[in-house]
Amino acid sequence: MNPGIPAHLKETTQIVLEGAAETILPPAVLSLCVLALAASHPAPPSLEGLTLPAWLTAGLAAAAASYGAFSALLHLMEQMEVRGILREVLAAPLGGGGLALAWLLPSTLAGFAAGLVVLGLGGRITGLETTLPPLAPLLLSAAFFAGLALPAWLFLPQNWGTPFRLYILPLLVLGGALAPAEAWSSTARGLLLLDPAYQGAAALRGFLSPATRGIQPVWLLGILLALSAGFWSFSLDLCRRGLGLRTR
Amino acid sequence: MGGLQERLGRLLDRWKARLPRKGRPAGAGPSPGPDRAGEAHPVLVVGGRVARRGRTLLSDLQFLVPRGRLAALVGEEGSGKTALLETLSGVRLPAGGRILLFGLDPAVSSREIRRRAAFLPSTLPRRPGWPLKRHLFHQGALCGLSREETEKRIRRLTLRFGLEGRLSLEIPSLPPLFRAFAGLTWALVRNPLLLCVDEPPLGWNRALRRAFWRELAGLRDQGLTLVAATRHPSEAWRFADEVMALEGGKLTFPGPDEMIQKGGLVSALEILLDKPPAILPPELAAFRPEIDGRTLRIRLSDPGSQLGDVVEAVLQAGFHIEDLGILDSDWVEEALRGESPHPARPAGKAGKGPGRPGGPQ
Repeated sequence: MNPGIPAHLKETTQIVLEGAAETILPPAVLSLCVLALAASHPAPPSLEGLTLPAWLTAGLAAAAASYGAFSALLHLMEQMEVRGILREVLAAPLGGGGLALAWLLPSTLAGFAAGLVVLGLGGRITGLETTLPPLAPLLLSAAFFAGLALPAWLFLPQNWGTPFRLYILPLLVLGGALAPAEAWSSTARGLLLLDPAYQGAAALRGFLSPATRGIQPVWLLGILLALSAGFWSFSLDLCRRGLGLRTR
Repeated sequence: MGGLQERLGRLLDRWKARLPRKGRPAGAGPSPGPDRAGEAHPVLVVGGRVARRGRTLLSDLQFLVPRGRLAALVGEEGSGKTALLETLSGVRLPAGGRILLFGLDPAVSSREIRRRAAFLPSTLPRRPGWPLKRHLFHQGALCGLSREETEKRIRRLTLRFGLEGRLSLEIPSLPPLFRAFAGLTWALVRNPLLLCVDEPPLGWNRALRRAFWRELAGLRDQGLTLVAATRHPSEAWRFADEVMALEGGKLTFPGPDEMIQKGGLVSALEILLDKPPAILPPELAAFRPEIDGRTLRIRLSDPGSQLGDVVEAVLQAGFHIEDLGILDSDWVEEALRGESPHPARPAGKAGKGPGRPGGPQ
């Protein structure tokens, strides 16, 4: 590995940590608010074989991880641009793979931390028994949204970025992850299949309760992996062609 | 004013006839072959196109920067100088055309190009709390240099730029010129073969900019190839080997007349007066320019020259020479007739009034 990568990774981790209040706390707090509302529901309905709090915890953890990763990467790229670090790094003889690692590793870990906060605090709610979740669904969701974040950050005008990040995206992510598949029309259910946050939540629910009727076949995970890879390829191609920024 | 312009025009015509023309005629294609040493030119652009966020900024670029030359890019804000410099240093991929850097295609060998070329932005990365030394070591690490090698290079460069005692200071706390030298040190730690220099920050006065250009010329004399951006035609014309102008998305190679038109009377005086006496017209060779901050003082050894009288009158009235645009015809005519310039000049035209504190009296 180019010795420049650890130096850059150290700096990106520092920037993500500096922005922890922006990247980890908002999704965690938002998720916990929803969880608290659901837990205080007088008669929690049973959804997909689980009580409402259990149903929500899995979905919120996956959504928090996705949103945290997305937000952390946006914060990182924004700060690198503002501080002039991005151009410095792009001018250095560093490889694209090393740069992707230095950008995504801290972002994904920040998202994962947001998911753990939700799970850790959510586990204290009465009647809800959770153990440490499998990492795969969370990481899958986080990686997918991190891949989505790069072109979004590069192409959205700065004045759109903030509302998108703070309002629209959480609504999309949480909306997909929270509602049971039965609640959607058949057309919307088809779209839901493509929502990795929902799939992450469904996989997590399947882990919590094998009898769950969630959408979690193995082939679907394969599709999501391919979709994530496609998004990455799409992102890099947009960078190379549209922006002219180097990708090699 | 008409008389002054005519005289100036005649002087320029005579001067231009003696001066070897810089650059290349607009549209002339560069020779694609290698230089005399048999190595590829650092920069060779044929039909190049530069875009930002999908929007074409510059097109049909054709130019060549041979090894060991200092080329200047002149253009206003937003003309595409920075994007072109980013392209030449491998930060940005060309949007089209043929751009070869050291004979390599950036789309294929971007990393190899970035090992040889460095980009110096207008301002260095902002890292509060980092002393200059830490910036330099970080740059060395990003470029894959060992700590020992980086330290050796830093010692050599700080000696050259007089930064030895300032390594523990933060960059924003350095005086402006040393801030610029810190930037050069930061870029040169990589030991590049090609250095692309974005224009210095706004607010730099003429003396600072000139000191910076002198350093660039000194680096050129040591064999480094440089491409530097500026919005001041006169400085480009004075210090660079090649002068290229960016305007309306096109690249041209203006001669002194176009540069003077762009830069106004100040450029005319600078371009004329800063040349060695051998190529100056006799009327102007007698001038002794002296630059002090933002003021250009000229002592006249030949009191018979009316042009010199104008300049002297203007300066003795306390005006900064930068305030005198070639279009300020009324004011110049008053000075030409030997009358005192009007005390209350309209704000915004020339910007400053007479009797400015600190001006020569």
